[in-house]
Amino acid sequence: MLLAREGGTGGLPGLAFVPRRYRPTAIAGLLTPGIAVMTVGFLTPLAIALWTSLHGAGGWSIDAYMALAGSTLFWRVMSGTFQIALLSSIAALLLGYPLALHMSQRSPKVRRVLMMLVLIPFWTSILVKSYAFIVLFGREGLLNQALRAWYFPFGPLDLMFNRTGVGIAMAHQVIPFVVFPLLTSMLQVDRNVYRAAEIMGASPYTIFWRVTLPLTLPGAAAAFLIAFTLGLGAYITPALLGGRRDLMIANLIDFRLRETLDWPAASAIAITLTGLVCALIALARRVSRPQH
Amino acid sequence: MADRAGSGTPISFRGIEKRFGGVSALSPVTLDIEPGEFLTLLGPSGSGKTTLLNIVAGLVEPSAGQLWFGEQEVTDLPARERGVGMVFQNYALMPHLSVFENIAFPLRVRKISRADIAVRVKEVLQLVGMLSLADRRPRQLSGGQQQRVSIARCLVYKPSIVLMDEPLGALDKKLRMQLQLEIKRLHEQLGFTALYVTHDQDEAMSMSDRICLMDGGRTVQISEPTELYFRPQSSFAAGFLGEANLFEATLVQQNGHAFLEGAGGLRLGPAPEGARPGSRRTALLRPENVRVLATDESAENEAIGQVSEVAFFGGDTRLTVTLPSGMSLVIRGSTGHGLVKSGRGETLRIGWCDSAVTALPEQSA
Repeated sequence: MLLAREGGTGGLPGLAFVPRRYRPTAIAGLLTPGIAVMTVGFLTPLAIALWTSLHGAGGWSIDAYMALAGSTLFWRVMSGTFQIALLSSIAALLLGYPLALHMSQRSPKVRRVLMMLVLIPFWTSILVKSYAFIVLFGREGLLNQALRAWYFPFGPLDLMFNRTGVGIAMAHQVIPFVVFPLLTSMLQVDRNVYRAAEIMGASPYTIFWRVTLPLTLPGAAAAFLIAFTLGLGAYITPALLGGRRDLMIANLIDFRLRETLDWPAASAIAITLTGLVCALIALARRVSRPQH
Repeated sequence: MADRAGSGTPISFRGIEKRFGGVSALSPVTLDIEPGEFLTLLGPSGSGKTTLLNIVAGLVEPSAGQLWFGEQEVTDLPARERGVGMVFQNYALMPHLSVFENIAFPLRVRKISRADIAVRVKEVLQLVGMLSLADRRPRQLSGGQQQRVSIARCLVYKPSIVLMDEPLGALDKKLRMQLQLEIKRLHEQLGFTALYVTHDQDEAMSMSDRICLMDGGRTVQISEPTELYFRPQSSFAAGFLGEANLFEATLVQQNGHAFLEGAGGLRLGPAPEGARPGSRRTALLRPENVRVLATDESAENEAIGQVSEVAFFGGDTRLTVTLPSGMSLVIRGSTGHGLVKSGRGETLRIGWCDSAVTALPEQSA
């Protein structure tokens, strides 16, 4: 896509921009390791899951899918999963956007430090972070203790082991995934465009709504999509911080796999989820394709 | 819009200065720009010309000094309240907006009615000859077209001061010449005060009422283009504008005549008035003022030299001649006036008249 765009401005067919030294054989050589890893680690298990989902006790069948379609538990979990993923990715976007905007306006030096600060939680184990959230937001956590000390009348707040808890923790987890695509799209905007807008008399408020936001919308869409897909597949966080009713799809798969040992059902859920995510990404790409 | 002619606002720099940390980026500048004047800040990169421009725009805060637009001090006024127009080298158009919307932007900011916006945008689009491309996106336009749009965007709100930061720097030579003329025409038609930044001396000379030559964060000389070219006040000014033959000369008194003498006893020209005999000065001789002499011709100052380099530019030919003293002298003139026949290694008699030589002022340093 990038090549096609460059070709568009240069007036030459896209592939003419591939330097001579990256001929097809070389490209194939460079792609092979990645493709091999994806084949062994992703496509093969996926194929096995697909096979398992279509292979019940008595040979080929779509019973597993039929059972899913008729299962209220499955639909409840599915809609719950979408709601939690949606909520947490919107929260992450709302929190990450100002952060990315701030980072884009600092000097490269300060920006590097801020990027490290964004990345530190990303490098921390999800387990550790989840327990940290319990320490902070639990019924006897720091926040509730502080609120009690200030005579907050509605405490203690139930922030953990329910949907709020999952939302907070998941939003926190995906913030780096939101900040970096946003930051990239913000840094791509020519600074002179902002200067020009300022000189033409635009207030910072106008500049944000008329210039910054529209120009970073594609970045925001990409960020949202990443956060949302990550949210759909969340497993550890809802297991640790969610309530009994906040079972997510991944946990349901785990339940079918290990508790009821119904592998065709587990595989059918996994395939359905994968299919839905692929459809979503395809849709998002179609919607956000740049107009020429 | 023609009624606006002569409505430019004067700009006054009073000791404007900029330091970054402890480092001086701009030494104090005191300069008055007349209403409706076209003043160019000319200099190599790092000379402080863009810093000075950005101070006028309000994008850079001066460390000291005052900036006045006419009767109003604007030193601390935010950029968006200054009402100036600015054209950038990279156009700085908004990629998500059409040509029409780009130009309408400053009017929308000013809460001008929809109907008026349509009229005024069309008016400026016509002015820059872009009316038929109003619906295009910037990336669908060529560099020259984008710069026209950005000029239109700057003129649509009728600023009385227009700042241009190397607006033609990204364009090829032919287009550059064409847009130079157009910018000049718009300036004459609309009468705004223009502050123009460039490192291109030809552009500066052909467009400006006055040029402010800058080097190393200082203003070197502020003069009209002809004055700057023929009466430079320093060897930097002489060398930056056009080509220059610079000679270290000594003032010699002989038979009641005072003249400038270069290396090897070469008579360069008459001594400047009031100069002491024996004093040392730098003499400037422009290449186009040196002629190749025919055998029966003579000139007020003559020299003999050997051609060491010939460069043909079509209408012009440029010769480098090595004088007996070992100095090189550059001659430039119309091809066909004895210049084209000269080949390398040939010995030529060359000459120039007294008025062609300018003695630069003594350096205070």
